[in-house]
Amino acid sequence: MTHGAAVAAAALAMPVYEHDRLETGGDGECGITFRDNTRIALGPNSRIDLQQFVFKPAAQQYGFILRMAFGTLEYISGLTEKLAPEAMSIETPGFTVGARGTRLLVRAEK
Amino acid sequence: MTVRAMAPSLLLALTGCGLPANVVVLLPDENGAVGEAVVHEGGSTAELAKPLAAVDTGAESSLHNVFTAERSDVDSEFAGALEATPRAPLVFALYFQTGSTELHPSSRDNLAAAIKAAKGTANVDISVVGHADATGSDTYNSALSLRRAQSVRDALIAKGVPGDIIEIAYHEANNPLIPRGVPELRNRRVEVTIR
Repeated sequence: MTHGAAVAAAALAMPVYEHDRLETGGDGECGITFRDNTRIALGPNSRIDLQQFVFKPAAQQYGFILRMAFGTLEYISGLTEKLAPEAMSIETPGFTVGARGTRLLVRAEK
Repeated sequence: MTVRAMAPSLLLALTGCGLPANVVVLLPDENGAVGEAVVHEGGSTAELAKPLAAVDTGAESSLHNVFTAERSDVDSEFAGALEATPRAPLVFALYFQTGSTELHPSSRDNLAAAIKAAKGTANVDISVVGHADATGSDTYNSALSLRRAQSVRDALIAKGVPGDIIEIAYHEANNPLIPRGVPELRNRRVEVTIR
């Protein structure tokens, strides 16, 4: 997990912030639950950046961009997708995925 | 001649030789509901709308071929991610007496269950969302729903749940998390979500 300039091994209950990077090794996997109830899980040998996460329903501000460099990802939608589906996307070097109230698996090769 | 040359690759696709290296697969959620996904690559688009609908995203040209993934391929090739799926957030609805921050007696057990879940989960992030009746003015309702949310947060903190992991939201006229026009008792409530 990379937060700013600090790199550390991810641990259970570790808070995760916008712009953080998560990377798993050969036998690693991890799951994250976001404040808007979105859940993701990474398989081994994967890297994603939390490019953007803004969730302020009272101000109607939403933005959720996951940038996956490579690996395997499971995504289960939360409130951002329900309230503002156009504000949510998963980007990889080759392709982009947008969704509406759903659960997805994405794999991108290195 | 052309058909014979094509046949081997068709057979390969039919015998389910695993998923493409670059792929998107649509899955039903834990309740069996299926949403939809749109994949963009270059100027092309593919739409997925059925369970296990999948598309090879290796090249723009492969986008037009939406296929149905084999469940066994999905389970084995995404095993790591599927195993690490966080559990769904737990939601507890707490109901209140009219015009008051007093909990309705029927909700006392639910409050206890929410506290137990909050304290029993290793990694926790909590939101407490106050709803309000459609009757009364917006200002009155906002203030009341905020006070209700605060009283629930106070109850959680009093039982040892750390305050810094609790986020409050409450009825405001345009808050999309809190739709209006729902029957009375349902609106006199606070929802506690434990992630």
